[in-house]
Amino acid sequence: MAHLTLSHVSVDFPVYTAQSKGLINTLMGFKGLNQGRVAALDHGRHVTVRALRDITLALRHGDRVGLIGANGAGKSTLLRVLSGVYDPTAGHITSSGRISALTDLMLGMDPEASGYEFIQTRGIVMGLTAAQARKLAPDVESFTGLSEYLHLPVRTYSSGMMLRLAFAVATAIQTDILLMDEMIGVGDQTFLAKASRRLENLMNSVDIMVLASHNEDILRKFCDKGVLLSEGRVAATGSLDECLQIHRSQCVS
Amino acid sequence: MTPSASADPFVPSATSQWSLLWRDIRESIRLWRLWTHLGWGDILKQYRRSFLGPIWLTLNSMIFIVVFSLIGAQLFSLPLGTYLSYFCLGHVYFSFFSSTINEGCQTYIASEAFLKQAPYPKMVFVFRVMWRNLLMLAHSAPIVLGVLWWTGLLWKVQLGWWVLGVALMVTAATLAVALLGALAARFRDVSMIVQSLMQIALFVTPVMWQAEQLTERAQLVVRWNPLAAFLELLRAPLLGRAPSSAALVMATAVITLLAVIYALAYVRVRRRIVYWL
Repeated sequence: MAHLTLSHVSVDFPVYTAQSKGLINTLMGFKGLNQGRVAALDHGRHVTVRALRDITLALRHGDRVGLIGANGAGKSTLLRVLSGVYDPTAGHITSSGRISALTDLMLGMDPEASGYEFIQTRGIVMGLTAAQARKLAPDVESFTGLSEYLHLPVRTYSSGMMLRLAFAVATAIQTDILLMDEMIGVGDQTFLAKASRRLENLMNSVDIMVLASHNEDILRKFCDKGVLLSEGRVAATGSLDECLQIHRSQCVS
Repeated sequence: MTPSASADPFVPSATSQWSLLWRDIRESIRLWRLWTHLGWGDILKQYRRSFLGPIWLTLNSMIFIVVFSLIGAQLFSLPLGTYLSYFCLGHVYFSFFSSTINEGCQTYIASEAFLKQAPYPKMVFVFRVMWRNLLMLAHSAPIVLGVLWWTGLLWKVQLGWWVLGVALMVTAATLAVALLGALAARFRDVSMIVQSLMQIALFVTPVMWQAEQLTERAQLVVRWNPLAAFLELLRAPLLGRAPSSAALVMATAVITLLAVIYALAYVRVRRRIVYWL
């Protein structure tokens, strides 16, 4: 059974200034002429920003978690820690089950390549074989209704068509743990309705789902539990409604 | 979902960074479908931009090689056939060195979107760069075969030595790309420095001139130049002779050195690379 557990996880981002980003500058200890404020920060050599502090969470089978918090609270960073992209600077993370993050739908899209080629590429990027990736095509055709266009280069598509294609391919692959960053809310009404039906199906089939969003309606629709982040810390966990309430009261004050 | 109890249930993972690096390499090889697909996709992008596609890439360097050889043969007063085969191989292989090393600097920077989407093993992107450049190199095969046939060298090729040369070159290039990729992700001026160095390297490597044409003292730039050693390993067998033992020693030393630096560096920074993007 899938699980995802974080114990005292912290993430520090190094902040590089013009000086420490350059090899020659770093080797020569060259201080630029016009240093300004950022360079002054660089005095202690290692400047870091703590994006997540001491996060302890245990996600279990069946969890549908809404990740909430103001901009810059660390939602996206936490999703990247959960997906394994950022190896935490401190703390431990353990997981079992296939993890898939739906954050960058357009990943692997080449404007010159055809829709079918994109399906193939995206399938392989998500770990399928070429043959398995080809089998995604009928599902994508029927969902997007783009079957006549899939032979054409992606650059000839409207942005709505591109989104439909990217969304359809990304959601065609089964997974155990699904991580999503605010992705719904683009496209026309009919597509939105169709997309949320498809998302619901996908979400029902996964073991654990984490959705970061600012939209309360979307969160209420898909999640029952909440994690409230504030300045990189877990400010509250519990039911989604409780967390939303705390978040709202924070915003007012 | 429950915040876990105060008693820490997690045993600090016993897996060392060394075994994680080893796993990274194994997993990357296992994901061959991904990097061959991405590398091939990069080549297709170049085809789509040009009218003649793959033929254009080959034709382009063929014209350059023929025109330069006509001039070079006169310049160095060598028979056209001798100079053509020498320069053709030098140009083809040096272009490969140069593009692999330059593109190696972009290994991680260019794959940022992938690295931030899922925890891919890092070597996948190194293999992608290598695969793409080896495919590009293969575009020159018709030229090389044509020149060797025309100069009558085709039947004298020392295939065993050539295969060894290719193996050593691929090993060294893979390690170099991995190191440059990480270094250039951390220090953004590295790719510009490398670009300038490779421009200079073209002139201090015996690509268009021959080492014997230099004074003994000046030949030191050939003897201590790793690119010259790898060029010798790849070119000599196709010209019908065994590579010099000095080149073999140099190549082995370079690979050993790169492997040690690679292991030490990647054990430390492999997990930091994504933070630098």
